[in-house]
Amino acid sequence: MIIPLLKVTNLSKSYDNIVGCKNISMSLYPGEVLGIVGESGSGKTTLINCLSGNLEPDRGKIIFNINNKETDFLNISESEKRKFIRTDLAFVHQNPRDGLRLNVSAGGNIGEKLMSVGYRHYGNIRSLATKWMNKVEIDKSRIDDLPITFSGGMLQRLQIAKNLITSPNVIFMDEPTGGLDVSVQARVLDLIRSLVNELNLTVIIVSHDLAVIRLLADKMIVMKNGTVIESGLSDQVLEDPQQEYTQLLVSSVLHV
Amino acid sequence: MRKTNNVIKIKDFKVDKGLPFDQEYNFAYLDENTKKMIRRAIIKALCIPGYQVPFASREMPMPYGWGTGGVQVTASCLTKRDTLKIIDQGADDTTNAVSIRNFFKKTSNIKTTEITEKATLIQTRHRIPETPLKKKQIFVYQVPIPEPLAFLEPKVSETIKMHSLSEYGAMHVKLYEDISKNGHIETAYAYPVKTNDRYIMDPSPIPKFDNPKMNNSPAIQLFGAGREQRIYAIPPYTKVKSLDFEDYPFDPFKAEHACDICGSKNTYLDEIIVDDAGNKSFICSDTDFCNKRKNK
Amino acid sequence: MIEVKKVNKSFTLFNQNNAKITVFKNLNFEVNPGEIVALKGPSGIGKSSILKMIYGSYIIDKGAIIINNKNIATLSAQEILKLRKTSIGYVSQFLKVIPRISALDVIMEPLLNSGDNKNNAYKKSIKLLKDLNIEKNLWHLSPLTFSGGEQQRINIARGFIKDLPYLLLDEPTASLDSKNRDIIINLIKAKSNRGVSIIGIFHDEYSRKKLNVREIDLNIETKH
Repeated sequence: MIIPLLKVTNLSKSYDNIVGCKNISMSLYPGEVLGIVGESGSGKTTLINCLSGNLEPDRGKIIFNINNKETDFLNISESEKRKFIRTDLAFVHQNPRDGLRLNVSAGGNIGEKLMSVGYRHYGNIRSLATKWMNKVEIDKSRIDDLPITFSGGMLQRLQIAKNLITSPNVIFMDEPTGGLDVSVQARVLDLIRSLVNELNLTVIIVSHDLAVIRLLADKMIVMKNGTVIESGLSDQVLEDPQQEYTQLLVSSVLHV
Repeated sequence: MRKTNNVIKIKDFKVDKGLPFDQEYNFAYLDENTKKMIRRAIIKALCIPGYQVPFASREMPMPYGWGTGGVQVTASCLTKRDTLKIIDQGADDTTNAVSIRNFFKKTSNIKTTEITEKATLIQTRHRIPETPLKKKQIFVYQVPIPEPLAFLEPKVSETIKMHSLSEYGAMHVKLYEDISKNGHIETAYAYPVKTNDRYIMDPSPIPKFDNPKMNNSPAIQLFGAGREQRIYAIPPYTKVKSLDFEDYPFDPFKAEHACDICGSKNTYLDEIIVDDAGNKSFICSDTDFCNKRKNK
Repeated sequence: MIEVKKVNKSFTLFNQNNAKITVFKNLNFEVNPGEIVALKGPSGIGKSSILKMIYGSYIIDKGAIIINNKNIATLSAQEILKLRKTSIGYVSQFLKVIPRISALDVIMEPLLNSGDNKNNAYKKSIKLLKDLNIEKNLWHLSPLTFSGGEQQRINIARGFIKDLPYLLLDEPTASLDSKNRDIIINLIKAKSNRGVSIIGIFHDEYSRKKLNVREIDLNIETKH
């Protein structure tokens, strides 16, 4: 019996009277990609922020189980939580500027995570950063350039490199390609897809775009008004949606 | 001490009235309650080397940026038996040093000196004397920006967390940037250090050449930032290590010159333009040390 | 061994006046190891749906689908994912093209995802590309601009590259000329000879004869 990497039970978060998410329960296993789909106001962003530690939920349990060590995420001290977030989790923001230091070079941005976990050899840090720049297809000659000189797509790829370099156990992605041009989106999605496959990453990805979920996620949940309407394998939910709302969503997507 | 009815009384000790000073002010300008508050902060700071203790900085008769923090720390530590030395960039005779020294003379009529070994309390701006400090000397630094993480993280609430959780990875990012831009760690002054293997500290804008002097010093080192309202400290014989990388170790660089006045090769030098033709001269920044050596 | 037992499947279209479409009622059949079973019936009867139900892409209303002693209908998502990785291969009717992935990468992916090392995956994929008559200059191109037949051959290669005990084939020979069709038929035969249970939809009589399929006539096997 494999223990889930992440187990969420009855998670709820409200903003005064407005429901963010309500009684969410789900499990995530190592190497799986879970997609969370919903329209604006569905609660998907609230959910991912609670799971990644950016928001404090009102009720519920979040249990991580990594390398046989269990972490009760909502019941540990702040310092343990911050340490856990730093070493085990990663968060790719929709706007890459939220996830990068704009006054620090590309190499410094990628290397920061290494330095924060104790790397103290400049040469090693630099060569690892270079390796990752290759992986995300940014010309390695730009390692000393400031992010302000990068395009949107490059910034997002830089953010991905920065997050993945320490092989985090769970990666959260909030609309990682929202706001990018279509051709740029395709490239970033390809990159995410190949890195997930190559490194057997465990990912939770939030998107309003069903095509993104179809491409990247093994499993998905559909959210509306703060609750889970339907969940299951991505291909099953998209090809044989059981709930009315899901059917509406699926049928609304234009096919090129 | 006499023990009376389970209450311990401290025997009266002889109060040395000292030389008469301007009676409009309390001794050394600050009122006693303020001194108490600052001393408490100093004691806390000494107990946690390198940790920034907030204090209620007072309005001083000099503007922010002119050493108000250092002056408040000095004023709180000063007793009538002290001998005070004030230096600014190593020199006793610059405007800043002169005016602070006059300030203390006026408000306490304390004995002053230019000779490092004779001083019991030294206030400095941006240098540590070449003459090694001794046990029981108090050394006060003037600090403009106490927060070493300020350039990376503007939010105080966040830097407080970073310090308390030892989240110092970002500090090395700065050094990394230096090396990537300049081939070496360019930071020439205010070079960050780790104190007692715990807190990362800004040593004030002293040249990195001076950093090694802070390590394992027999003196008490106090740091005062008036505008930012912080005090921090290094108690005697504390480990102070400058940050670096394994393959780019800390290098206390100095100019490859000897002093043109005293000939010393091991001291920090000021580069001075001596005439309109732009001719340069290198002389010791520490005037007291230079004079002593010249006269030997 | 695949067992389909008393399966009912219908669709309820909520956004079209809750129209209910019944696809099957009481569907029953079996497939034994090494057998090649062909689903037969007119277009729209639900042949592709059966494959999707077995693969877990469609939910069944009633009944059971037993593979490896496990009932697909009751497995968790995670267990189905595992089963797909280790046991059941699916070749869809059309290749789903991802624009920037080369034909070679498309074929190597299932092996790499199972932990096979890059060298082995590469060698096996190259061999398959050669067996399937795909020109060398196409190997590193995306199938986006390939002909229907070429795309289908890549699709089949991707489904065949791993040694899985169960294969579901949706019109594998549809877009192929006779030469390539024979190549595919031989590949299917080879799998079957190795004990793989195969369920397929073959629209042409020739393929069905050559593969010596056991036909399951859906008109008879189900009640509509």
